[in-house]
Amino acid sequence: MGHWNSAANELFVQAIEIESRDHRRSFIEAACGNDAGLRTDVERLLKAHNDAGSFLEHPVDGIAPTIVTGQSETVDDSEGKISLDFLIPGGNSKCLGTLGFYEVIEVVGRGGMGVVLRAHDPKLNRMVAIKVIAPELAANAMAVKRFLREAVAAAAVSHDHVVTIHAIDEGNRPPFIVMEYVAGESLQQRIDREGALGLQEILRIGMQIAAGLAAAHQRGLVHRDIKPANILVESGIERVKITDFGLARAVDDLGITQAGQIAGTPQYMSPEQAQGQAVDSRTDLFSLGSAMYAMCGGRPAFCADNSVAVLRCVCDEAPRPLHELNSEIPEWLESVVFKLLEKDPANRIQTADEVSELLRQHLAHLQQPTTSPQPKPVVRQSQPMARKELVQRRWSLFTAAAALSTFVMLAAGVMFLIRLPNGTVRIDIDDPQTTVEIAGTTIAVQNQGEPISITPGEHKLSVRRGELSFETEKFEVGRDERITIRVQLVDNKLAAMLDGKLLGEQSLLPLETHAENRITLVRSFEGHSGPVKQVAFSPDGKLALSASGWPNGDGTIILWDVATGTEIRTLGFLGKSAFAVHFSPDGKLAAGSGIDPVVHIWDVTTGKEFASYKTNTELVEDLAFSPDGRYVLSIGHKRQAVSPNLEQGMAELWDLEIGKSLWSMTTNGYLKTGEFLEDGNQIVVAGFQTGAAMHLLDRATGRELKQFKARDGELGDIEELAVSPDGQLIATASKLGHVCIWQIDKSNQPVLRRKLTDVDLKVEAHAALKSNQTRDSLLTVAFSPDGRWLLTGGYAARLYILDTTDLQTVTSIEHPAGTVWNVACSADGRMALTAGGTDYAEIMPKRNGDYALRLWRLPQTIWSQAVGPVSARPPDQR
Amino acid sequence: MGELTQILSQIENGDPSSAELLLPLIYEELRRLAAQRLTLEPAGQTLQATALVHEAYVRLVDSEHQQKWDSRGHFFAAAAEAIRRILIERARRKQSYKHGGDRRPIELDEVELAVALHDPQLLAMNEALDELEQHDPQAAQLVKLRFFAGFQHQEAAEVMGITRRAADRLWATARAWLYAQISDE
Repeated sequence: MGHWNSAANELFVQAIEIESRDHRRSFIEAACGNDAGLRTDVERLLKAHNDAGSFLEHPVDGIAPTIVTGQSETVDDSEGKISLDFLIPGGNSKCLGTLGFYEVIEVVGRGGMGVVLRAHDPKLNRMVAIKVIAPELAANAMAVKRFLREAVAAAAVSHDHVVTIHAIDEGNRPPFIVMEYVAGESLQQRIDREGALGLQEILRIGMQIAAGLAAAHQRGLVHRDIKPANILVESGIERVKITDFGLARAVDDLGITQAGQIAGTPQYMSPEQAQGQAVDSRTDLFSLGSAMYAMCGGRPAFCADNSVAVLRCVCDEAPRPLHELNSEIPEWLESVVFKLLEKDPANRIQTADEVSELLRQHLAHLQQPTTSPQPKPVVRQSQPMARKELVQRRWSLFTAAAALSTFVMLAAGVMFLIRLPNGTVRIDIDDPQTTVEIAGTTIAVQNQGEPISITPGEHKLSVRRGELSFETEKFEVGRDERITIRVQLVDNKLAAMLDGKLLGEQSLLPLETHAENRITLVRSFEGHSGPVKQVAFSPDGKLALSASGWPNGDGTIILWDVATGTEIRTLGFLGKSAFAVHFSPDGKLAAGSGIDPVVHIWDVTTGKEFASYKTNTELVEDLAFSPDGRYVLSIGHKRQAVSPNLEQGMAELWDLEIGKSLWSMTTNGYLKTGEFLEDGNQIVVAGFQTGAAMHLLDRATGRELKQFKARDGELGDIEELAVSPDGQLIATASKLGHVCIWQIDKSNQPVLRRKLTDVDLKVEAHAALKSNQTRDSLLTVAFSPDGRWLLTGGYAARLYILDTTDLQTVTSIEHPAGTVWNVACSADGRMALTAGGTDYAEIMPKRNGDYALRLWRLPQTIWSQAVGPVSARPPDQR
Repeated sequence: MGELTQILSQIENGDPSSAELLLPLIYEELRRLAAQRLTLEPAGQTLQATALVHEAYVRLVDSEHQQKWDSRGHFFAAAAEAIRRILIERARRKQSYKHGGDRRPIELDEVELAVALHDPQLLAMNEALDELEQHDPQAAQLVKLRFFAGFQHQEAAEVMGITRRAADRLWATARAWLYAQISDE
């Protein structure tokens, strides 16, 4: 342990300023004289100084912040100043700074949403282009999403004429995308410099853009912002590449752009885009037509003073004939361009492939007129005069729209949004359990009748009642129109009506309507003052156990009388958290565990501690008794000796007769749950998935017999597993909301799986859920005694009964204690016990119910189908 | 924003005791921001501690105060301390026990902040920094500003009101001394 020595510090700072080592040494020798202590301290600092490397040189999170300084480095650009605050100073003297490990050399431009930098990748020693989201957009989650989507979209397309995406760093602030660097200029720059291009060049470039688009379209991607500025022309060779997939999206991705919001570049936008209508790949062909027009004519097809006027032209006006602008443009090329510029997508050339092929043939003919025939000229559909009328009608609507529109200009006209005047919808609901969603708004009985403002166009409702949900037909909402939709429950049918017309209906699940098929609440057991993590029935069903634990648990293990729901005694207090509690098969003992690394075993009758075993783990997550009651399995975690930040799961087996551990085994990642198979000779454990989802172990030795897998991370952590009464099946409930059935003897993959709630989630809603990750997590699973049914639940605060043959929901009921942390089924299959109390799907643990245990009567259909009645064992302990 | 601006004004008007009021306020804001950001961002995203501090600054401090070096110094000193406490608290908790039942990150001080150091290093660094603070508060502040608030060296010198050269020396000493402390242990 060193100490503080001001004199040594002073000498040290002087010494490090001396370049030459010899001079430095003599300086220290002279300064310290005979003071050996001083010298040691100075040398200690010097050594540290030399050894420290980059110690502390980077902030704790390894990045430099993006904001703060008033005098930020800026680079002049036609669009204004670009702040380069996000660069970390350093790298060699030629570079502006570093971004990640890339050495940024210069700003090459400004794209739709950010700055494009030229940088050197020192690892692969190549030049790359890095696109960084504009700082003013970096704080906008929607913009970031859109920005990152570019990388994902473009990365999916690998083509000579599409810019290659090398990497994406979304963790960086601001996020950036690393792309292939194309030395050259944009087609826009070329046109600005040269005006109209030569015929062969136009054909070659047009053909290549079309080929690149064809590749994107084949992947289901629509670029939606094809324009000369997004076409890079490599210098030297006549090769072009499409870039800036910022607006691209999968045709079926209903995600981000809402109806009524228009994104794109006005001059090259298609009419359908300009009007905020649905677009498909043919929108890109219109934009390609516009780009070709610009190459032919040296100016854009649609010009006007402002964006609204440009949009008006796009929608309603025919561009000037090309031969008036450039006499070198042949008739056939003008036809091709105008065919692409058809207002109605149906009248355009339909695919990018066709365009590419057509241009290729023309080019071939141009180069070798004798061997390559001239392709047949394309026939232009629209008659200029006939269109005039249509134009008038459209224009009047459009003027009205424009007059009322809100314009949001982003990045200087690169993208803008128009909000059209809205219609209103009123929903009337007569059933308190029904909710209706329209355009992102959820309506229930409480807020029914409030008019909802929505964008004009087609809409549909999502109607939901418990497990049941359906979507209605689409209906049209006009501008300033008010409509009322009634959602009613009549004769077991849930129906949505608009003006007496049925928009959609669905019958309620028959099971829900019959009392005997419902789960009914018998009583609540009150006593815990924190969330309850595990519950258990005694074999005779007369007693229950519960453990209250993290987060904010009361740490107790309580023994209850099931008949009255009253507390018999507190068996144990395990500090902050109790996690697990089980009855022995004969019902005489109870085993509990929690935050301390100890397996506690109590005599149920007396409440006295029977035994306790200190485990080799840090805490004990779960316990299981062997069927003969002799062994107890404990499941926990252990920190790895070599790498203390990594933890291992650990299972240990305790022999109650000899009172010690027989073996322990470790796994990578956590273990959370474990059970004995019915013959007691094998054990299955599961948890956090690193490598394997579950491990089948030999009871006698702890040796691993088999691994069960799920594709990496697909299920999320397995929260609980249950073994079927016949010992053939394992059921698991997991973090990402799956219930799975696994066959012990067969495949190492689940034989059945179902994600419980995502069928009801809309795309957008689901994205939101992903961010708080686990709203649909399942936390617990139990078999009915006949193995025919599964009980499960989780954060969704519902108790479900599933059919084990197909995992379909038989019935479900809301859980008043919120999250279903645990469910247990009584040995006769008639009762279930649940508990919970805290929602942990959000950032902070949030109480979402009470801390009472709930005793439920299960539907008769469930226990009456049991293969032979399960006889309850006599309650010999009471 | 109001409350913080008021505190900053009080500090500028010579009421040093007000500085103590900054820390809890900023601490809360950081936690709130983190929580908010996590709901907006895709799963598995980590937050950059230093970016968070600067975002908090822009949100909490009005533009008038943003111009004043004094305000900046006070704010960032407190914010650096807040981040340090959050990280240390988290590292300690992770060292002492693991939660049962669930592995989801819940709070800012638990898992979401991206940190380039392992917990043991962070804890060792923290102890050494405490010791440094007793010997040379200015050196400790420079370390905190650079390391926990992500300041560039020049900026840190400016907000501390010292020359670049003084900051260079302070930094060299602090860094070498801390490194020696940590590697001796």
